[in-house]
Amino acid sequence: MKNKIILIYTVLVFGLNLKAQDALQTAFEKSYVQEKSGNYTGAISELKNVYHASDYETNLRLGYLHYMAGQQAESMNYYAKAMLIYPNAIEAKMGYVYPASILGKWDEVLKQYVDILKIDPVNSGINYKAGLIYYNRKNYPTAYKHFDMVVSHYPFDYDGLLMFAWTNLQLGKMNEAKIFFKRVLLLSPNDKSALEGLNLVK
Amino acid sequence: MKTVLLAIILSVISLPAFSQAEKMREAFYSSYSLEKAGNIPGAISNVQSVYDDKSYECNLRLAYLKYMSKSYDESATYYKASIELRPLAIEPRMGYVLPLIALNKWEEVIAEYKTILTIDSKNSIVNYRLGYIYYARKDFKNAYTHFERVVSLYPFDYDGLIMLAWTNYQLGKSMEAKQLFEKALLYAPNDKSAKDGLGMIK
Repeated sequence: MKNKIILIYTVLVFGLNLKAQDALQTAFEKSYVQEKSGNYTGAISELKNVYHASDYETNLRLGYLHYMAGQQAESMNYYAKAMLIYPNAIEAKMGYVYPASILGKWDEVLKQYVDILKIDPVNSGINYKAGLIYYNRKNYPTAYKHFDMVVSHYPFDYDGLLMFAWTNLQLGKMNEAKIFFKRVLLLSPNDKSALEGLNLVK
Repeated sequence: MKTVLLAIILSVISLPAFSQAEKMREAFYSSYSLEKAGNIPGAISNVQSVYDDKSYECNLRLAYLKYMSKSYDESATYYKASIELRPLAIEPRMGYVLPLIALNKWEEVIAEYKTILTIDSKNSIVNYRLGYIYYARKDFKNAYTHFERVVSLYPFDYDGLIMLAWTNYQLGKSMEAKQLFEKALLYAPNDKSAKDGLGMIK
């Protein structure tokens, strides 16, 4: 008798899970169709019908769809929920910065970048973006650290080299700036920014 | 008088260095134009005319151009020279694997990817590729380590999910495989590989 009850219970739970999974898959499929036709509100509605706060995939997709629909505050909320579910994932944090930057919440953007770099210190895309924010804030010593990280791993990458050159210039390291501007010119021989930088160094 | 003398000395000292940098810039410029026009041998000759074995940029560019001209051994040699000049750089190592793959030197490819992971353990591209090589060799335990790392950083990325699903399946972890195949289907609702995998589990 006890075994029978356990079996019935297991079948029931399994059946319910299967049904929930099917509903989720159908909702995602429908949301892709709506998104393809540019109907982000429709795509959002499809997912909200099956929404569970503890589901990473749904929160992540809702974060993205709200961003595309221009609803940045809601987008940030969903991305934040996804981040809580998988705190060590980079993916959700990288999504979060899109609505945050549109809303001009640069401190929050920077916080996400710093958090990503705690997980993946060598991530060159994030080091570059963090460096750019510090550079724009005229915090050249911190910008230097990030651009240096990019250039040490990708020594012949245009973006990293150019920003590293300008950061060296801002820090008064003219010889280093000159070297890096010249390297930029090897990659992009008539580069306006590098030529301007070289003129300032001379 | 002293100032004039100093200026003359400085200009004489800096002249060769300046002209070498200028020559290199011009050579790279022509090399890009020739490459764009499909003249790879010409693009190589231009860089070779200013070749300096201590120049990271010269070695990296020649390695790439030799690879494009299918001179894989020479390409590998130039990439190796770049790596020796910048041992902590990821860029030339990512290039180096290209001729190695063309030469079917898979052990060396694996060694290079492992070295990159000692510099950047979270590099998701390299973790994915290394996982893929181990999977193809039926070394599912090692494949698991690398795919798991990808999925922990990018939990809703199709490529990582589908390969981690198959790896779990191969390791006999059917429940985990099922969950991951289902997640892959949320991402790509009609995905044949995920459906095949689920069909084998059910």
